[in-house]
Amino acid sequence: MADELNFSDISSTAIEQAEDYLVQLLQEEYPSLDLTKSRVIRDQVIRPAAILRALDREELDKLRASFSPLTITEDPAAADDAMVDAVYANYHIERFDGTKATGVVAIIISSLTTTAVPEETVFTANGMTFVLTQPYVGVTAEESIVSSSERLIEERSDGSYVFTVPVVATAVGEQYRIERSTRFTAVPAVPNTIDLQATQDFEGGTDEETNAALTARVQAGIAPEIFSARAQVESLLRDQLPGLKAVSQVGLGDVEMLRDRHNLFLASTGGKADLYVQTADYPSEIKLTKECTYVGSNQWQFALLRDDAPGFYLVTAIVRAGTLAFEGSLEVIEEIRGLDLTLETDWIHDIADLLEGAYTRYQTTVVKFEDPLTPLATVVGAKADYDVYVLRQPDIKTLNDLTIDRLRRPHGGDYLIRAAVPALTTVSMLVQYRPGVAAPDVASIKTAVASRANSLGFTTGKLYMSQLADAVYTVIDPKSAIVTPLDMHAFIYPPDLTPLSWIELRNVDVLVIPDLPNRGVSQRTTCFSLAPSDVSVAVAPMPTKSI
Amino acid sequence: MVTSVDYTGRAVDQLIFQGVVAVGDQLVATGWGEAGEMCTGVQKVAQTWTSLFLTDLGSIPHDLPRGSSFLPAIRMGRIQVDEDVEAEFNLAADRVSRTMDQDAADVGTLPDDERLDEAILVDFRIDQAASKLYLIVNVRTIAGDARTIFLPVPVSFR
Repeated sequence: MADELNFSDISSTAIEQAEDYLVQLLQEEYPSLDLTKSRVIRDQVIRPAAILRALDREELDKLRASFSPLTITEDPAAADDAMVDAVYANYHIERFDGTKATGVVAIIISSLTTTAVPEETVFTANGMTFVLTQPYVGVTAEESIVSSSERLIEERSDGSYVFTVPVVATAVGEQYRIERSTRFTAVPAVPNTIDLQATQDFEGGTDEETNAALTARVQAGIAPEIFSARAQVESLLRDQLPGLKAVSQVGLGDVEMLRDRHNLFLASTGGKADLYVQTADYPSEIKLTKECTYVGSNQWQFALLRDDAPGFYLVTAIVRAGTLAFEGSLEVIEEIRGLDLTLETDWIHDIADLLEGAYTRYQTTVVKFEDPLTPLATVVGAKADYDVYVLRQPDIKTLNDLTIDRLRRPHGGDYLIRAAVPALTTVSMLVQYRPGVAAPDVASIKTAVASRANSLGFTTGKLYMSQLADAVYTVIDPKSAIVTPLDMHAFIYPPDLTPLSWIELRNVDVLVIPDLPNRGVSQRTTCFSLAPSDVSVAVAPMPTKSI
Repeated sequence: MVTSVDYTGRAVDQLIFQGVVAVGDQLVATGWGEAGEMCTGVQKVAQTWTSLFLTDLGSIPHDLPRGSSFLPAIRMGRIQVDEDVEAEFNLAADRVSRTMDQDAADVGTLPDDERLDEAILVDFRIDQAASKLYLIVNVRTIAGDARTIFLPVPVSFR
């Protein structure tokens, strides 16, 4: 049932229009009536009727704006949410409610002391709040752990101590996906606290669909959810993953399609499609604890298997297991990517090499790194655990599973899910505000800029400075200024050489994804990814003279 | 000055004073009437004035300036002695007068006997025992026609 309107929802203009209409109508029918303002008929009869008519008209307008996909598409903002849900339910499409982000906060304390964290503690980072789902106690000995409430306090290399608590966002939304090492504050304060940090990127956290977003999804969603033409395939993927950000389908006739040329003449034969997907606004890190093997000379080695972080981009950090709230990483000496094409069902994709299989769920890697603090007595072949942080788009395997499921995959086609080739972007800017007004909120600017860049998907292959400046103006005073040029910088990791080589873009006006289809890089395959933490914002008052 | 005496073909308003007679004492009360009686001329002005005078200022949604401050003044206890009555009446009557002038100006073609000239507080009486304030108001049109309105208003005294 749609929300009912009340008098405050009706504008004075609407009431005046209704009143004028009724006056005109009555005057034409009964010319002898005195309908001057203040007369009894006008004030006691017509005006109340006009208010009710305006209310009814508002309801009718809302109904008209909401009762068909056509009218909803014309102006999604005017449509009533509940009615939109009802209309699209006829097409088996449901609004995505959004999810709350979850993560783990490291509480770094100055002494090895039993430390309570009450359930009502509120953690805040970048203006967003997170809460506990239960009270926790940091305890000093493993024997004290008798339930999920007790968390072991461990010593850090700098002489401080740390324990962790899981938290959940207070609201749904992608902006709550805090990145690793983001600092928090807590209220009430946790005793003896030195620092509070996110131990790894927060997971989950998706936006509730607006009418506009739902309408955009419906464009694809009304199509049958099957592997067929582009609209149907996108519908299928969005049905499986409602939060899917963007899809680009490369197939027969596209220069980026390499897998359908597996023949002597390298001629395209069709029957294959690469589905590049952007499953989140920007890639996030996943933390894996890997058993590593000592290979001598302070060097260790581990393998990332295809199920560890399907479709991963990069190994971003390696630290000793249990290390929390750190900066930097042990140095990676060598990395060799590979493919694991072991059958999962009765069939598997035709993938010839790493260029064709990079950023798919079949990708693997072997990483060798150096730990200078390896004990001298360590023998070759010894094992030790290390925490490995891997950058990836989530849900690549979830989508790829559709393509190999015998019941759902097409009879005559080979559809392969690939994470979008990443153009990992950074932006720096200076915002000047008028003296005498509050300084703009840096966190809001970062979020707005990142959101705009990440929303581009595969549309143009270009990131214009003007687009980012426009995003900034949605969150700052219009009389503030963005000092141009902005410094825009991106690294593209092409599938043919990842992670050993990259394409660097730098420009103050526009970043353009190069057209290198034989290397797997083009507008059809590559997306700009900009994390809020990679937006550097300086704010300063505008230099002015007093007047 | 235009003087209207023949009401044929005149624009009419619904009469909300029921029981009006041409001559003699008669209890007059507000109401819609069983059959719906109409009025014009000075009677229209008198009831318009009364209606505005007894409407709380700010009580009409989306038309907050319409009405007067007289009844709110009574409820807030601003009328305790005789001097208060005259002061609050004049304040409220002035607002009603300006509202009616503006409405007439918006129309532009009202005959003189349908336009307010003045509303004068002829007399009043405070009956503390009955918690009543009795007002006697003379409403006069520009044409010179007049009606006297008796308004008993409940009042609470400290």
